[in-house]
Amino acid sequence: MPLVEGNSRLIYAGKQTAKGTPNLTPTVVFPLSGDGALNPNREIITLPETDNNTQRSDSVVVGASPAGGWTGWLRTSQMQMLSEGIMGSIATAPAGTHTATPTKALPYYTMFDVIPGVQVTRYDDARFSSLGLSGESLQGIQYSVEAVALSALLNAVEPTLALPTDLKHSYPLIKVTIGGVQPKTHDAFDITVNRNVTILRGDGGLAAFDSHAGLFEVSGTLRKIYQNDDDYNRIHGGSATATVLTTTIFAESLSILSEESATLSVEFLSSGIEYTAIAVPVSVDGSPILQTLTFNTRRQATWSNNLSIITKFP
Amino acid sequence: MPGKRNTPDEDAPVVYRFRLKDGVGAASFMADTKAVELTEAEPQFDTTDRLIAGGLRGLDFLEEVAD
Repeated sequence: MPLVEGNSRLIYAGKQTAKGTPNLTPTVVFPLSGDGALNPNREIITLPETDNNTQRSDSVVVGASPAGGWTGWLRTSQMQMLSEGIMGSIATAPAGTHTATPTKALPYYTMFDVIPGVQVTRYDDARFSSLGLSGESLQGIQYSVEAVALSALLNAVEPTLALPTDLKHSYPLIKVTIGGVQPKTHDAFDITVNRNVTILRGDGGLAAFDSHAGLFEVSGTLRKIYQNDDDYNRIHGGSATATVLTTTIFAESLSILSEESATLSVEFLSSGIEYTAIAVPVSVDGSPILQTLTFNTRRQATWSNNLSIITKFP
Repeated sequence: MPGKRNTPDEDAPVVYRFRLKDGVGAASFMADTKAVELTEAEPQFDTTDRLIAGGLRGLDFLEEVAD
């Protein structure tokens, strides 16, 4: 038998019209940029009991939690699916601009974890439970997703789709705008949308009954070139010239835009992020300070102002 | 109430009708466990479920219309 090279694994996904109706013709294929997989995750425990013996109890399968995650390089061609999957809804207006906004219910997807020609596992009724985006100067822009499915099927039929050929985004495409201004001092960022999806199992055997999206949480960090104490004072005191601590949480708008052209871009946009921590570290080697700001998005009267993801793709 | 159609027959379900706002070409969203796709050719979605209608009111690309 030939050996199988390690860089062949692919994840395919297609949106379902409803729970329980798998979509066998996926629309997007995701190449992976690192370790990642969906796994059947059978839950195995032991059920100890007394006997005249000291051997370990046998293992028992008590359920399955098909789930997993992967990372890949950010491409605009894939973000419509990823943004709708994590947010819940997407609207196109005008043509070529796709705005994903949060809703309580999330779409279901059929996903295939594929080692081409060797191993194909199909995951039905999967939901994206988290989506992260991160970047750092001199690096590529990477997304990471976690997905939770209700059931897994081994030895599925391998789907066929052409691999994406559009640009893998890198840090020179990034513009971080806070409070309406791009200071050009942001050296790294990460932002994660977490839907806290949990499984409701029921008595359907090794297939779970349904999943449920819990709290909508968006958090992240910004690494910023340190020039003065303005951010420190704003976060602790409410303004750059503050002298006393404040009970107010400092908030401002945030846009993280990765733009390869006017018609090809991805933007994470929030009307208000609130900073919860700032770290101004010491560098004993004398290198300049890079401060790290930790944030989460604020509750908003209109949910979509908390966060929307805007993809421009023809 | 906009979007609410009351008929003389009190047993008839109330229909809540939503459509894409002007300028929105296409949209997809979840209503209950179903994926709904609206397009310019088919821009309208009706539901008789008050909870679903409540959720749809939060979507800024939809508008509720009176019958």
